[in-house]
Amino acid sequence: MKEYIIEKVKSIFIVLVGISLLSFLLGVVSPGDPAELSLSKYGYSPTPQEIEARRVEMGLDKPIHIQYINWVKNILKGDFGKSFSTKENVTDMIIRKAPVTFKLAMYSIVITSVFGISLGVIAGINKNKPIDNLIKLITNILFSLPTFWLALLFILIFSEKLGILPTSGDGGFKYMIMPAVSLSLITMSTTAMVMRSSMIQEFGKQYYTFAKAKGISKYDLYIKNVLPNAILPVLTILGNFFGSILGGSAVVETIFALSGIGSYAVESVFSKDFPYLQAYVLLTGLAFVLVTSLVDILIIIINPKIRLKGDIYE
Amino acid sequence: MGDIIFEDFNVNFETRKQNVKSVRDMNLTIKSHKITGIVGESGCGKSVLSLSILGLLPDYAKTSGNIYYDNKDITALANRVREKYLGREFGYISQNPSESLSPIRKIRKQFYESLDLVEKNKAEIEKKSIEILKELGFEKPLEVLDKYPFQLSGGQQQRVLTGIAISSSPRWIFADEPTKGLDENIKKDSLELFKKLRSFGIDSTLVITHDIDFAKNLCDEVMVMYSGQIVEMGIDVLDNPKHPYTKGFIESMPSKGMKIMEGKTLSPTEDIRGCRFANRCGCKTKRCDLESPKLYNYENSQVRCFLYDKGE
Amino acid sequence: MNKILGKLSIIVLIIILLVSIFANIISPYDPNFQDKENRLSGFTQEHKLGTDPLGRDMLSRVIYGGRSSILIGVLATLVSMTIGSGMGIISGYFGGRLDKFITSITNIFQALPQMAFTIAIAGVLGPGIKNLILALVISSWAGFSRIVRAEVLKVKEEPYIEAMVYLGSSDLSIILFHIIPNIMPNIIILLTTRIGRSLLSIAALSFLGLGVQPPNPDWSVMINDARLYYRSYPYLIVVPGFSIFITILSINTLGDYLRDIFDIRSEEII
Repeated sequence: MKEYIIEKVKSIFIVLVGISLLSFLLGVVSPGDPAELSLSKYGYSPTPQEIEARRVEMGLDKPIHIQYINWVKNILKGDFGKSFSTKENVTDMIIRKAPVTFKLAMYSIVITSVFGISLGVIAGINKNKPIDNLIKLITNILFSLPTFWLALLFILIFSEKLGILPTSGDGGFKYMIMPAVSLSLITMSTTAMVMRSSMIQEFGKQYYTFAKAKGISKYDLYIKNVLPNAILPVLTILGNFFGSILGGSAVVETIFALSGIGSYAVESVFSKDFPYLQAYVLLTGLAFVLVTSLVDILIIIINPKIRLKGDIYE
Repeated sequence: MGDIIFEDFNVNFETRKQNVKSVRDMNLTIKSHKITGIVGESGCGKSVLSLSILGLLPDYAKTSGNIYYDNKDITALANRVREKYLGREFGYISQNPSESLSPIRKIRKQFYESLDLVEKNKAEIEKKSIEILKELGFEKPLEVLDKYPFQLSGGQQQRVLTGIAISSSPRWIFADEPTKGLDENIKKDSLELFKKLRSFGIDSTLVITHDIDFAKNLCDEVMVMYSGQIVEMGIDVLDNPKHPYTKGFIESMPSKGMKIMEGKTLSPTEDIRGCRFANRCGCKTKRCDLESPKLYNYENSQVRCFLYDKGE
Repeated sequence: MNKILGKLSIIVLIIILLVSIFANIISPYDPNFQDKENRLSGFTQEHKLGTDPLGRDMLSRVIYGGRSSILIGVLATLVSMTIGSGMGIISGYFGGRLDKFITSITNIFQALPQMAFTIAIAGVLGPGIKNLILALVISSWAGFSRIVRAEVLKVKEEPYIEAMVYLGSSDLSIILFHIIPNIMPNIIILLTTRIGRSLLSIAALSFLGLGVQPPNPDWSVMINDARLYYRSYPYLIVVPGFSIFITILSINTLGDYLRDIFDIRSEEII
């Protein structure tokens, strides 16, 4: 158990260093001179002297590894630099925008889990029966739909034709329905597929046969005996999905005019606001690592064998 | 009443590449009010036979023929109806006790849900489960109930399985390899346990085992299974074996000198005209390759071998 | 059922490919020709699928619209597969420190949410087909590596591979003649599903203006072009979107079908 934790912490540390390096490199390979970009404003071009002074101020005259270390130090202090386009602190921008994206991601992961798990369980129990084939067909279709197209179709149907849902803007629950649903369909169908095969895998185990032979109700058999075992691998996947939803919200935020971190990431590409883009990649990566690690811990807590015996390698 | 009667019963496992015939043309009566043992080496089809009575074969198993219980063909029943027999008529003690309980649920929950079939009152359920566990030799039943399966030893797990299986008072108990993986001392306990089943109101028992001593000490009647068929059955089969396979099988036991039988068992995918044991048999005649033997009556037994065909 | 759908998907894919390849012969108009008199014409005799806001023929644009995305998707996935499988094979076969090192690298690349990462790389590199492919490769090779490594580990345990090592066969010949042929079915299925996924990413990027660039006739670009008009003229997005959908659905169905043929359980590859 102790070894496992040490290994885990070590690998998380390596991953964190790695994603910080990659995010830093994004800034290095980005086109244009950061000093110039940070000074440029609409209708104003800085003089070479100003640019040179800014280069020193930003530490761009130092060797690249020193730049990286300084960059990381600043981030650890909560400073991601200033936006090239709005000249605002990137940290402030993120703090302002993150709640929108986080809320969107929460709704999406709830939809993903509730519908993905239920559909998967139903399909697994009814393996190869018509209902299973139907669910398979539906998940295959959802899995192949481009999110942005679906989002536009939703607007056409629910806002234009039926007029029941608002098209865009940040507001209450109603404003989140279409964005969250469009964002969750692919993850939901994947969850359903994984849940289904995980259930079917459990059906091959001895405890399933024994539990079935007890003559207990279907509910007791599938929900109380099989599901808690079958859901473990699905939890890992849901953790992954939460991270990828957080980092995959750009399209949906853009279409539904939600001012989250994703839609601004797209804008930042066009406005060459690279400090923001770096922060975006790093933070979504960080969130991913955090959530997946939390899920790992959760699974350890759920599994009594590991919890009580410290037996991580079953 | 209560007998289990197989009629031309077959079980095939069809995969893309091959067709494994696990049980072949079974015509057999397993009598109620008795402890019956089916012995044979692994892969002979004995576990499949018991699972097919319970209706617990995997979906890709194809069956043909009938199984009668209480004069009803249970293979013809709808799944929904047939599942009602589980727990109430048929109890099952599966092999590998360590893998037979859900690893992440406490024993209590897994025990109670079985008792729930016959008793709805929570307090009664607890009382009854403690009673059963005590009878099965647990000194501190409450502690056992609060444990997870992995916290019990193999022998304890097996007793828990037995407790769960008998708690809903079925008429039949089917036990699959109950002694597999247990050491000698625990085997003795296990034997006592199975002898006691009657006192729990279990009317009939079918034990599937490859452990000859266990079967000899426990069973009223023994059936020897080989390559999907019963080759010999009777009340003193293991003391007085007749079929060449039974003789060889007994001699191959560690306690009887461990003389390994020559040759290999015919693959269950293979169909042949003659006797399925002929390729390993020391008493083989021409007839054995040409014709498939039936079960012939001889003394107290029925034997599937031409040596005992008295031309009736 | 799967068989019929699988064969159907092959037919659909062949049609899509043929249409894309022979687009210049089939399409009634030059996809960039602007019929200024007939903007947003709706379905007419001259323009079977109507015209877009600039008066370009929708049918011609849809016929051309798969070309760049499919080409980019297939190329990017092939490159990712080559790099990823190579890493996975090295990592799984040789094990030890090399394995640890490669696994760490893949873990890093997999920790970045793919969409965010792809947007950032595509953004930093700037528009262009080469950069788009590069962005997709950087953000997706690691997925191959992880799965291929796991498959290699499985194959490596086979007794005959152990025997070959014992008998002194060279690593290269074992990898080329025994490991790769054994994991090939998995790689092919993985390739198929990943092409579908790349196409989805490319479509999203192009829609955001970070992928295939206008005036290139591309399905996603067409949808993006229509953003101001589609509420009044839904046909502007329905047909291009449906084309993307059918293409990806066929690829995914083909993947399922291949999985059945090779008899590989789906939970192994997701």
